[in-house]
Amino acid sequence: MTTSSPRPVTTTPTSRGSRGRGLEALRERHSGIPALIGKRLLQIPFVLLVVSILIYWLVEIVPGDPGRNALGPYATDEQVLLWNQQHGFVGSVLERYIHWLGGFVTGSWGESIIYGEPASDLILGRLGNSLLLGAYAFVLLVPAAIALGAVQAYWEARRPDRVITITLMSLAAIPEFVIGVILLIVFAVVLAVLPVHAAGDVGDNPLLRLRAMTLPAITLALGYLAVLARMVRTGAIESITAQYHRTAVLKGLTTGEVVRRHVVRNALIPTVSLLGIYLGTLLGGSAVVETLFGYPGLGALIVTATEKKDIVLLEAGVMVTGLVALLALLLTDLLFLVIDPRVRFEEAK
Amino acid sequence: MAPPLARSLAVAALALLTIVPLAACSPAADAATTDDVYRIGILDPGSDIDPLTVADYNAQLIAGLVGEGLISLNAEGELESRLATDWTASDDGLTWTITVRDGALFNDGSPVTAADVVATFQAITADDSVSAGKSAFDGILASVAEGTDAATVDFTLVRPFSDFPRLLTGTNTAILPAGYEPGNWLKNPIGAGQFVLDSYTVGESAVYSKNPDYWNADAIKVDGVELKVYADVQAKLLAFQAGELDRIEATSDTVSALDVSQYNTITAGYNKFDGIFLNTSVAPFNDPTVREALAWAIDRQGLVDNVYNGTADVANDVLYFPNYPVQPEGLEQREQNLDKVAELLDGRTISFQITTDNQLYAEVLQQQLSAVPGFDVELNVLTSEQYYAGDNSVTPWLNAPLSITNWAVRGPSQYIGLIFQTGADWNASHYSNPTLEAASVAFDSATDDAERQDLVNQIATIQYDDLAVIVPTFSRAELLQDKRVKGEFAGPLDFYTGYSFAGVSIED
Repeated sequence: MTTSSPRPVTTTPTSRGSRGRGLEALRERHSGIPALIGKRLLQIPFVLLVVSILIYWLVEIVPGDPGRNALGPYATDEQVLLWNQQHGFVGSVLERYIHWLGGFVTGSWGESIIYGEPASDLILGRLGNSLLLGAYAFVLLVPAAIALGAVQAYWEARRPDRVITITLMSLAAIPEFVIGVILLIVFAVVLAVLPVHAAGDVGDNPLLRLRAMTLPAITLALGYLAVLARMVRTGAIESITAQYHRTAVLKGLTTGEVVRRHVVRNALIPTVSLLGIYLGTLLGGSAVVETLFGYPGLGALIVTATEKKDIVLLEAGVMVTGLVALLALLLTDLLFLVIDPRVRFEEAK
Repeated sequence: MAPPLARSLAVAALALLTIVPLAACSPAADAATTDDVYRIGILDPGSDIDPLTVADYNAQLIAGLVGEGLISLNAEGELESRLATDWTASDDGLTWTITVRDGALFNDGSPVTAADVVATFQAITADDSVSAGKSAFDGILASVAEGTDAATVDFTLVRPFSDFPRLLTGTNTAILPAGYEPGNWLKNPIGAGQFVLDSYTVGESAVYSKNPDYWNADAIKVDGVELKVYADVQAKLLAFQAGELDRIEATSDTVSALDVSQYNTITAGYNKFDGIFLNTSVAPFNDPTVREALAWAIDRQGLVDNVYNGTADVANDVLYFPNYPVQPEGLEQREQNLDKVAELLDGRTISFQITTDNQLYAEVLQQQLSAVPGFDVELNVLTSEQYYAGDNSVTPWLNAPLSITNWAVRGPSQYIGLIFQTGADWNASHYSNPTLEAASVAFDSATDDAERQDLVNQIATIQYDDLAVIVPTFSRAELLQDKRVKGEFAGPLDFYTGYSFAGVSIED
């Protein structure tokens, strides 16, 4: 077995020198990376502009009146009209959109129609909550997916693989909302070890905050676990059976080195691609999970803004979640550059 | 092959997955102390919170716990003294003089004065006011001014109105300091009520502590109140089951999901009615026989059982809540009578649509009517935003042929002014009857009991016969409450009862 090879490859001068020469040789190829980042960053404003136009138009065609929503059903028509005039909701759609856009790009996001508070305060506060919950879910999701995928790859086509596959596929078939309710019944009602309300009065105690966020984080993570674990499993199996793996083994690398330098890196390439998309979704907030657990995240806020036709809050909220998603994709591209040399070569060309 | 690494990865990841949630569940992370805090689940009001303008129930509660009005109602519908210690009418019934409680303080330590009362009601009734409370005083209150001494306020009326003190229990009537600027209440949540708002986080919670300067502080036995925002009814139910909330509405959904014997069932008087508003200006309900046939086709007890889970009383199409001091006499109680329906319809089939934001009510009513020969009913269930969208000339709730809308408890004359009066803003029935309006004005002026009874009978008979609005039920506020809560609420937690916590305590 090659796994018993004692040769300390990574400590030999030859090895160090070889890596140095390789990087030196690749320097020119790396010059394409800033261009890639610049290109992606330039695309972001255009994407957000298109999204903002779509949102403004969609809100316009949905029934409802901002003034009526703000003042309630018992306000008179005159009161509603006065309110709309005071808040700039008169005139053509184009005029109102340009007025909003001008304010948004100059940092004046306006006041929420329904809450009467600065939209920036509401959104950035909620964004922080969503980032926290998304990060917590991410921390639970990634190791779980890698572990389960690795276990499946190790026992490929054997009982553990089949059991995990069936379990994860079953989980994937159940809606997030139902999983959340089941978790609430088990952990909050029956066992009473975790709270139902993820936004209770926990003061500054981070442990209590973590405790309150655990069920929504697990619910979020479970929603993505099946596909991600499957991706890890597939990547790992493909890497283990690939030519470069065989070559690495035959040239005498230790098992640890083979896995670290060849298997893991290649196995994670498709996984990282998926993680980038998931990261954007997780950090942008999940309306379903936030609603179920009463978690004050950005997703739930955007849903409320949509229901109440709070265009100020909705536009700003969508811009921020869009930005988060686009930055997450950019981060994914950068990760690709780090772990996959082929991408660097392509960009350099 | 990579067995050692796969195994290591699996072990490390599973350890992390186990440790993080377990750490979160550790005993050190037990919930914050909420022993003497009364916890209520609410929906996100989705609106600004200002005592002068709040219209949504949840927003009213957020502001109402801090505020204090002049007068409130108890569960029996009787007037109770709050910031007003006395109220008397002049001989001609055109002026009501209110005496402001001596020694009452706002939560910033300043005294509540007659000038504050005057300023509050001037703000509510101002021409540019967007207060939901304004409508209650339209056509009734002419002016408000300080009285002959520093402790009294004179309300001058347009016409005599014997139920005027009841109007002072209305929405948005909590007293605010003179000079109060609307729109900044959350930054400085001023009020003279039972609690002080310690924190409010949009979409999350509102936390209150007992106001030590409250004029009746000795009667407030809880240390505070916490309102927790739930966007999902299922989550709210689970939170109640888990002991995170102290009360939940006793709806059919909640009662069927809970072991009711583990909780106290509390009833705190009537809180609303769901009216079936028939547009009398268009077919098919411009035909009185169709309106009457519909009224006789409804299984009212079925609505009580299936919509309210028993927390309502059968009503008789007249707007006198059972706890109103004067009750109509001599009207036959309507109940489902298919013979009368057949007689009135005379072989016709009446097709119409039920428009509402109350899905359960609409579905139950549709099922009932579908079983009655002569009715062909479709549903048009809207979200609240859609139902109340648009101005009065187009909004569904005021223009559909048949709409179902809930109304909070008000005085009978208020309902006539708002719902039945010719051209009234919320006259969803497009109804007009000068005789009814004249009788209502006469009732408001009358002080003799026999005369008042006679006028109530006249008004009720017109409502019963004309059927601009079918009133099948009066809804009671029935709740399930955690057994750690002792004592009884004076009434529903609503503006007309002043959100009173007097006599309620928590014993763990």
